[in-house]
Amino acid sequence: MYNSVRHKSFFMKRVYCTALALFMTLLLHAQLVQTVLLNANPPASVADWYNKREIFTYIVNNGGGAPPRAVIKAEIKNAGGEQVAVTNLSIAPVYSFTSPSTIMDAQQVLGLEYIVFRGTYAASLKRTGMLPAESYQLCLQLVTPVDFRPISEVVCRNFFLASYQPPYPMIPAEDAVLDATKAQQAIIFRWSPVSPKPTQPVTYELVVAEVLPHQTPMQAFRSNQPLLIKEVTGTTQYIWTPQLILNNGDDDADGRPDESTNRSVKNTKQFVWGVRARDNQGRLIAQGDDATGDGFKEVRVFKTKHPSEK
Amino acid sequence: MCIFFNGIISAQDSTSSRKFKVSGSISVQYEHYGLSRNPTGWSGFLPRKPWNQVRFNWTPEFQFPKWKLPVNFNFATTPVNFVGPYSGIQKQSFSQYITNPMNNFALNPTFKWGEIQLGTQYLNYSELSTGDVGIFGAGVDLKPATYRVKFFAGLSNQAVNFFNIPGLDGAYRRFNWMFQLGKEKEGKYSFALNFVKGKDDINSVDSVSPNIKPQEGITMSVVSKVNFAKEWYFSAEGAQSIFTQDLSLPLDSSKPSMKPFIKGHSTTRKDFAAGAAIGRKGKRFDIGLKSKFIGAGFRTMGYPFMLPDRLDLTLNTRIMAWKNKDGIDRMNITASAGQRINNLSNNTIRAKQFIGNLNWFTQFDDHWSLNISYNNFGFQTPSGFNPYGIKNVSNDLGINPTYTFSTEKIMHFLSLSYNWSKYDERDVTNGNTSTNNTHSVILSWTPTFLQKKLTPDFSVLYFLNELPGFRFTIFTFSSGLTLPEINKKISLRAQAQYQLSKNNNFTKNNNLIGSLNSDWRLTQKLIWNVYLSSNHFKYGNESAPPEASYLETNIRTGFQYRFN
Repeated sequence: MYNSVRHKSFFMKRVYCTALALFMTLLLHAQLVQTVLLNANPPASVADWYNKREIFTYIVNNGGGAPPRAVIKAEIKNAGGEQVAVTNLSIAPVYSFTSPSTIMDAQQVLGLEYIVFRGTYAASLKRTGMLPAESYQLCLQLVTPVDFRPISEVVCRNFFLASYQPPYPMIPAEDAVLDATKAQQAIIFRWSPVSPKPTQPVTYELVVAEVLPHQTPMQAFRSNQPLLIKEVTGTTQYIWTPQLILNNGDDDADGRPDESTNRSVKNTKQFVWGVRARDNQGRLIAQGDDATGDGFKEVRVFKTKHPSEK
Repeated sequence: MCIFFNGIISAQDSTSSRKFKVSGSISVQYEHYGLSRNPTGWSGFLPRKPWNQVRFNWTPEFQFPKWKLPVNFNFATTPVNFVGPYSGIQKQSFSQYITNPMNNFALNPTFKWGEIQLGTQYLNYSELSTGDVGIFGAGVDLKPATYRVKFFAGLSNQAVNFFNIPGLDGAYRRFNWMFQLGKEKEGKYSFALNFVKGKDDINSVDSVSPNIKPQEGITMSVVSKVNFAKEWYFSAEGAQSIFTQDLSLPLDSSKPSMKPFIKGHSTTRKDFAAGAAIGRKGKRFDIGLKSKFIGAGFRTMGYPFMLPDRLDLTLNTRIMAWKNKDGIDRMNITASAGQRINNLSNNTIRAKQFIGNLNWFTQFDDHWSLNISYNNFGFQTPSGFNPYGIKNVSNDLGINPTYTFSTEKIMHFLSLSYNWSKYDERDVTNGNTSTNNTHSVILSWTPTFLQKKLTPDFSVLYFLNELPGFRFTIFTFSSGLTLPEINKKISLRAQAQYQLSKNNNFTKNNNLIGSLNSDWRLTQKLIWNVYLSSNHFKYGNESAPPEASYLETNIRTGFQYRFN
C-alpha cells in the first residue's frame, strides 16, 4: 500500500515536472508570437509585394521576457515539398522586437538581397523577375542572431502564384476602319480576359479617346480626356452607343485637307482604345512593373469613315 | 525660340525675293463643352470634355535655299490627362507643362543630310527598341551617304509628386537617351544597331504612390531589312533588355549588369525579344508572314505599353483580280490569319488566341458593288486552377451591297448593310457557355445634286443585341446635308439623328443629336471654322431616378491659316 502511494506520488511529481517543463517551453516560445497575413494569390513578382500591406503583413508580438533581437528565417517550398528559397541567415538583418507589437512588410522579411533562390527558380527570377505559376508554402520562424537557434514556432501560409496576363483589345482590331454611319449608332468592343481567370470577379475598365489632329495615338491616349470610361464586370464585351456625330465634316486626324478637292471635309475620325482590369478589391491586375503604373499593356487604333469616302 | 522667330522674320522679309517658301499651317481653336443633367447633380452621365479648352497648332515649314526649318508646336491650355503620370494633375509647373504629352514643342532644322532635333520628339528607331514615347530634349539624325547616325537625349517625364488624389500616383523624373548606328541604301537594304536607355531620378520627388517604382532599363537591338528579287523583302530584329524594376532596392552583384551603363540591383533581370518578317509586295498580289516573340522579362523604356511573355504569328495577303475594260481591278481581297500565345513561359496557364479576317470587295459594274467581311477570333486557356479553361469565340459577318446610278441632275448612292455578330464566353466554374448575338441592318441613300452642289443623305438602322435574359434594341434615323461651296466661300455640313433604344422591358430611351459645321474662307489662305453640336438623351424608366436626362453642348471655333 505504502509502496503504491509512494509510487503514485513519484509518478505525479514526474507528471508535474514534465508538464511544467512543457509549459515553460511553450511560454518561452509563446513570448514571441508571429502572425502572417498573406494574400492567397499574390503577384508573381516578389518585389511587387513590397510596401503593400494588403499583400503581405508580418506581426511579431512580444509577451515580455523573450530575447528582443532575432533574425527572421523564411523558407519557400513548392507543392512537392522541394525547397524554392531560403533566407541566408548570415547576411539577413537582425531586428529588435522590443515593443509589444512589431508590424513589418515584405521588404523587411523577404528582401531579395538575402533570400537565396534555388535552381530553376533562381534562373526564372533572373530572366523574368517572377516565380513560375504554381502553389507554394511560405514558412517563417524567428531565430537567434548568432547561432540561429529557434525562438518561435514555425508559421506557414499557402499561396498560389500566377503571372496574370492583363486584358488587351481585340475588336475593333488595330487600324480597323468602321463605317461612320454604323459606328454612330453602336460600336462593339471585345477584349481578351485576364488569364488565368482569377477566382474573384474581375472588373474591366474600357477607355476610348479621340486622336486629335497632329497627335500620335499614344499621345492622345495619354493626354486626352476620354470620351468613354466604362466599367464592365465579368464579361469581355461592351456595346457603346457613342452619341457623337462622326460624319460632321471634320478633318481627319492628320489635319490635312482632301488632296483631290483641297477641301477640309473628309468625315474621318481616329480613336484609340485600351482596357485594364481590377480585382474585387479595386487593385489593378498585372500592374507589376509597367512603366506608367496604370495597368494598360496594349492600345488599339481605329478610324470611322463615311462609306462614300474612298 | 530665337531660331523660330528669326525664321518667321526672314520668311516675311524674303517672300518677295522667292529665295524660300513657307508651307504648312497655323491654327488656334477654342472649344466650349456644356453639360446639364436632370435631376441636377445626377451622376449617371459624366462630362466627356473639358469645359473650356484652347488649342494651338503651329506647323509651318520654312524652306530656305540651303536648309529648312519644320516647326511643330501643338499645345493646349487645360491639362486633361487620364493615363500616365500627369493624369489628374491640374496645376503644372513650366517644366511639367512642356514635357506633358498633351503638348509638343519641336524644331527640326535640316541641312542636306543632317537634321537637328530639338524639343518634343516621338522617334521610332525600331519595333523592339523605341518608338512610342515622347521625349523633350535634343539630338541629331545624320544620313551621310549610306551611313545612319542618330542620337537623342532628354526627359520623357518630369517629376510629379503624389498627393493621394485618385488617379494621381506621381512619377519620378525619367531621363532617356537613344543611339543608332547603321547603314542604309533606300529601297535595297538597311542595317542598324540600337541602344536605348531610360533611368528614373530616385531623388526627384518628395513622395510617390507605392505602385510607382523608380526604374532603369537598357535595350540593345540589331535590326535589318533587305529587299530582293524585285518585290520580296525580309526583315529581322533581335533585342536584349536589362531592366531594374525597383532602383530603390540594393545593388546585387549576382544580378545582370552592363557597366557602366547599368548596374545590377536585386530586382534586375535580363531577357530578350525577336521579330522577323518575310513577304512579297506587288501591284496585284501581296503576301507576308510576320512573327514576334517578347520574353517574359523583356522591357524596353521606348515602348511603355508592350505586353510581354508572348509569341505572335501573322499571315497577311492581298489579291486584286478581274480587270475591267479600262484595266482596273474589280476585285480586292484582303485576308489575314494569326495566332498569339500568351503566358508563353508557363505551360500551366498558357493562353492561345487565334484571329482570322477576310474582306472581299467586288465592283461588278458601274452600278453594283458588294463587300463581304468575316472576322473570327478565339481565346483559349487550359483549366489551370479552375474546373474549366477560358474559351471565348467571336464571329462577325458583314454583307454590304451598294448601288449607284445617275440621272442628268442627280447621282444616287444606295447602300444596304447587314452585320451578324456572335460572341460565346465559357464560364470557367460550371463550363456553361453564354452566347451573345447581335444583328444590325442599315439602309442609306445619298443623292448628290450635280448642278446645285448639294448632297443630302438619309439612313435608317435597326440594331438588336440578345443574350439569355437580356434584349437591347436600337432604332435610328439620321440625315445630313452637305453644301460644299456657297459663293465659293462657305462650306456647310449639318446632321441630325434621332434614336430610340430599349433595354428588356424598360420603357424606351430617346436621343436627339444635331450638329452644324461650317468653314468660311475669309481669304485665300485664312479659314474660319465654327462647329456646334448638341446631344439630348432622355431615359425611360431604366435610370435611377426614372426618366433622368442630360443635354450636352459643344461649341468649337477657330482660325486656320495655310501658307500654301
